[in-house]
Amino acid sequence: MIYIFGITVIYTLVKQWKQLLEKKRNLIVYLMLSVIGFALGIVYMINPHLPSLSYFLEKHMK
Amino acid sequence: MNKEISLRQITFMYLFISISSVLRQVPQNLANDAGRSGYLSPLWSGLAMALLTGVVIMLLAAYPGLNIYEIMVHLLGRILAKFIILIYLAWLLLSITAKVTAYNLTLQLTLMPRTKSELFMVVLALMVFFALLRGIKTIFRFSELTLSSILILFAIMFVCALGRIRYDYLIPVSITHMSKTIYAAKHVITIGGNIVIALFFADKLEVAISKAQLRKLWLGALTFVVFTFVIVLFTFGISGSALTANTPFPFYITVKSISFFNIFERFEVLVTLICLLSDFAAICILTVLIIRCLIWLFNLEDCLYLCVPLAVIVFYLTYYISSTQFEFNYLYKNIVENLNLVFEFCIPLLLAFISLVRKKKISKPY
Repeated sequence: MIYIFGITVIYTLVKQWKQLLEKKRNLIVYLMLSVIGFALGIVYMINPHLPSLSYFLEKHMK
Repeated sequence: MNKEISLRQITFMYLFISISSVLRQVPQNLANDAGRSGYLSPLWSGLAMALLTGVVIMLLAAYPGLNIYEIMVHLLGRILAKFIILIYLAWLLLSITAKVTAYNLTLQLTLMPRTKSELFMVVLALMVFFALLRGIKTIFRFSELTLSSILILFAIMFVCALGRIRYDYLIPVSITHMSKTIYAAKHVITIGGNIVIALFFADKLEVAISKAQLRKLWLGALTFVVFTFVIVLFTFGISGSALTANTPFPFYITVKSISFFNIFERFEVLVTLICLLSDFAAICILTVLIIRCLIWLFNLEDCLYLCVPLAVIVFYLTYYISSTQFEFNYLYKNIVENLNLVFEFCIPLLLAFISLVRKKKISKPY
């Protein structure tokens, strides 16, 4: 999935390049969100069996 | 000012996005917390709903043409407003993740038990993207068009089910259970709080909102309370509170036993479809709200392209936040509901209070 997402993000980046460059912060926000998304994706690829947040809370908040 | 959507459309959308949560979570949570008298809780929630609707209407009338961010800037200053919007953004991300998980689990529980959730999410992301390409007006019109037929369908189902309701499942109700039913009303209020979407889209409304339009919001809140009451009464009366408390989607089980004069059966497929449509609309609206929050936070211009990285984030967050039915139930009951109370009730109430104290209202439309 991460490869499909990667292609989609790059395609959108190229397609919206002019609009993204109109304001620098547009590009920064786009890149920031992409980096967060891919960081989550890479961690999931490395370890897909990580316990979820609700599992963690259920275990530790009782 | 250009009027993009009307308060009537917002009311329809509010009801439409609330349907799936009312059908899926409310009966089970009420049965767990209030037992057999849980069907009375929606009536208590009416009081809180009246208060919240009053607050929303007061803010809409006091700040015509301003959305929640602009109201916060006006009352609290830019920095504090941006900080609150940042927290709202985190809450919206959690809400959309929970909604996507609920959508996946509904499909896996009902129609496609063997299909992986990745496929559902990819199809959903494509549908949401194409819906957003057409603009928010299309999404609001979709709910306007669909809601009436859904409510008629529920009315037919209720008439068909009247004969199957077992009154010994509903009465007698003891006065000692009253406190439990009041506490359990929280489960209804947290969904009814969706009415705050009116504040998020207030800048898309007409500047001068008529009293007739504001009455639509009251009517919407009343319809929500009555609808929830009927659904819970229906589920408790047919399945009983014990079964309702222990089933992940009790309303789905309940409608399995209904038939329309032995001609038409399998209403559960329609219920699944309604839930999916409602989830789809809710996810569209949450995406729009997230993008609006990003625009307010970073002073961006209209930026639909942010949907792509947002889809990546939401896709992976669904695995990190909750993946199984048990985890989702825990998350919904302990985290999502409490956060909904804060963001849908406490913050609008606080804004209304500050507005009253500081009397910083805009009396005339500009």
